[in-house]
Amino acid sequence: MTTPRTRHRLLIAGFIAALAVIGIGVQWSHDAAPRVPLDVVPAGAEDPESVEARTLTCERTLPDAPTRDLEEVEPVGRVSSEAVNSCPDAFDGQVVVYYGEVVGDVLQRDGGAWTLVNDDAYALTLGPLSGHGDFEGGNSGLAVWLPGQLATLADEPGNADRRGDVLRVNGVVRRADPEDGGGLTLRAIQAEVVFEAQYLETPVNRVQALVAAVFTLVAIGVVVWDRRLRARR
Amino acid sequence: MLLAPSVDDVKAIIRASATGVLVFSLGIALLAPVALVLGEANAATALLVGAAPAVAMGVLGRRIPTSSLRLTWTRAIVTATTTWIACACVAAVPLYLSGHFVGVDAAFFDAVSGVTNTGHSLVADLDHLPRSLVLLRSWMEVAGGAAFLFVGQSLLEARRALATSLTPGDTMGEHVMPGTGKGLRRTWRTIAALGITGVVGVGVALSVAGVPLASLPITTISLVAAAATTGGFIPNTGAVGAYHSVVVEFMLVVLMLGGATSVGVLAAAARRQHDRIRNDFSFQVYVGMLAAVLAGTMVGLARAGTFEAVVPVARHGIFSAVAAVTTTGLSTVAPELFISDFGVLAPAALVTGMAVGGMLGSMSGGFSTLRMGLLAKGVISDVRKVLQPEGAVSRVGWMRLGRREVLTDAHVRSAATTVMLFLIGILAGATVLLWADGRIALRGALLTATSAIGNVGLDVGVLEPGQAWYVTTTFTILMLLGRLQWLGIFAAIGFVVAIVQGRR
Repeated sequence: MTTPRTRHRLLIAGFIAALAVIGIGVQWSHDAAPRVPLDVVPAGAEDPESVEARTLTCERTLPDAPTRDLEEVEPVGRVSSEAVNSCPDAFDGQVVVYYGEVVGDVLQRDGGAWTLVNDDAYALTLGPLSGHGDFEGGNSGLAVWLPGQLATLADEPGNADRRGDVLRVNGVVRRADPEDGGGLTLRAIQAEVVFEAQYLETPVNRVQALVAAVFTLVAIGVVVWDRRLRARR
Repeated sequence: MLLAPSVDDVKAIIRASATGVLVFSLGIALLAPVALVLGEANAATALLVGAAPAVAMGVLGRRIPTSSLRLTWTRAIVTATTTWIACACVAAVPLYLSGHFVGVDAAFFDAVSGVTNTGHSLVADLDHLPRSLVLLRSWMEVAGGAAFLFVGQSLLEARRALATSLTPGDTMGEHVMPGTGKGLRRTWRTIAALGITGVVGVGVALSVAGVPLASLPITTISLVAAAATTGGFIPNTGAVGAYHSVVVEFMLVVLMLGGATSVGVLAAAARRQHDRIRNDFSFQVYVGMLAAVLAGTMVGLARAGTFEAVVPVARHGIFSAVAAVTTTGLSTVAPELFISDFGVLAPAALVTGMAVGGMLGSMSGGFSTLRMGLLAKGVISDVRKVLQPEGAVSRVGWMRLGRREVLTDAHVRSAATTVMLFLIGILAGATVLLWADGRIALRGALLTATSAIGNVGLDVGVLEPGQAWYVTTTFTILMLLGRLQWLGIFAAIGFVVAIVQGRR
């Protein structure tokens, strides 16, 4: 006969052992994740980001603060979403070149379509994270209005299954676009698909499937055992 | 002197926590077939790796025999804390296995953020996250929000006058044991009504906005869960502004306001008891706070010259102010723009709204409008005492849904303690951020820390994937402290200390 104290200790030991087994299973599954990276997309390699735009950081110019001389910081050429978001005032009304992957939902409207176009590492170079596992921060992008026929370019936006179409957009930055209720937008003048959407071929993580099967069988076993005990009572 | 809890106390807590974990895990397990339908096999197995052991442990935990299942005050508050942490551990597993988190700490951070209805995220490459995991994020918000309401309900009678303690819920005269009482049915009805209204309204609005039919269900669920539970997880990085629709924004504003209004007030509204609502002190402060933050935001935006016309100022101002006061943390613009394009006054107004938060007894965070109001009444009462003749007695009262309460020193002390603890949390969080990265501006650090402890989730680009472990740990603790209003964590720590050192 075991004493209550011994029984409690055995229960605690069993609980810790179960946690250890779960932890090992989780880490094993994580480490066994198969990676099939997409080709590195050299989008805009021939069109490097403007030096001024890359190094530019500023805060919004308040009405009573000295006005910035836009000529000094005028971004000519390619810009990143990070630069535009951190200094929207300096880019307002500028014609810029922007490269990025169409992600999320393409919203078809009269006269064009709204898209979210990302230019982070997962969009432009490395591809979706699940394909390679190299962490390069978060996502970053701009809302892009594709007018008229340009709206048809974004027919395969990126999601968990694929990297979406990568566009080269030539357009005007609107810091507070009146046609979008004051949102920060990039209104495309010209756009082209520089890389078609690419599908990920992620194989099934066999180790994870095995661990899931074992854990699920154990859980089903426990539930069945519990129900039988309840039925007996 | 600390008294060691009895074995029965521990067993009752394990058993009650096991029930919570079981329900939460079954919800995750049910997402596995959805993942398979969506063609996300690895996400399906990841969900099962997390949920299956938790289901087994939940079932086993419920078999632990106890002589009494009664949830006393201590048992209930420790149960709430352990359940929240255990559920976050369960949800962290599929998130970690998704490969979208730098480490276990980052996945746990997101899981805590979900179940505490905060909305901060350290997910990398959200825009390529499997859709079933987007649904998991929504489930965390719904489960966390519903649990918060139920915990509030369950602790009601244990501490009748809420403001005299640090309890998270609203007193409405129900019993401690969950599963009985009209308050719980009322809570269910509230959640169901908010959910149905949200799904229909937001679904139609998104459809009109041009969201394709294939992604409409998940986008709708995700946005409704984010707004109605004040959770704030969005399905992509583009913020709510990515839908370019004033109707979508309006629907979300309605849901956010519903999520941050106490269940008692919503129930009174359903019964058309408008006088009760009008006279309710907490509601009055809530409306006043909304008006003040709205005015501050709009004046700030106008003064900063962020928008050139009245309509955009109103549109973005209203949405941002409501998102801040309801502690939802949704935004119509890229979060970086709060720092780079919103001037100084508007973010200051938003931070104030985030710190105060919504009503007690709702799903919102912050230190609550009621405590804010009681503090103000305490100050007024003290000034009156000074001005009145010596020996004069004055009683300051306040209305709670038709019942008159008398303000006591205990009310004011409790409210002041909570506010002080919040401020300490904000300073601690901001200090850790500034220590970790010297490039972070003080304004950004204070906003992010307030956002975390207020369970808001409005990130201005400060909390990003790849944070140092001590930053993620600090902010994980801040989110838990904010949601459990400090007392839960203190009680849980005290409980463990009592087990080890307490007198038997």
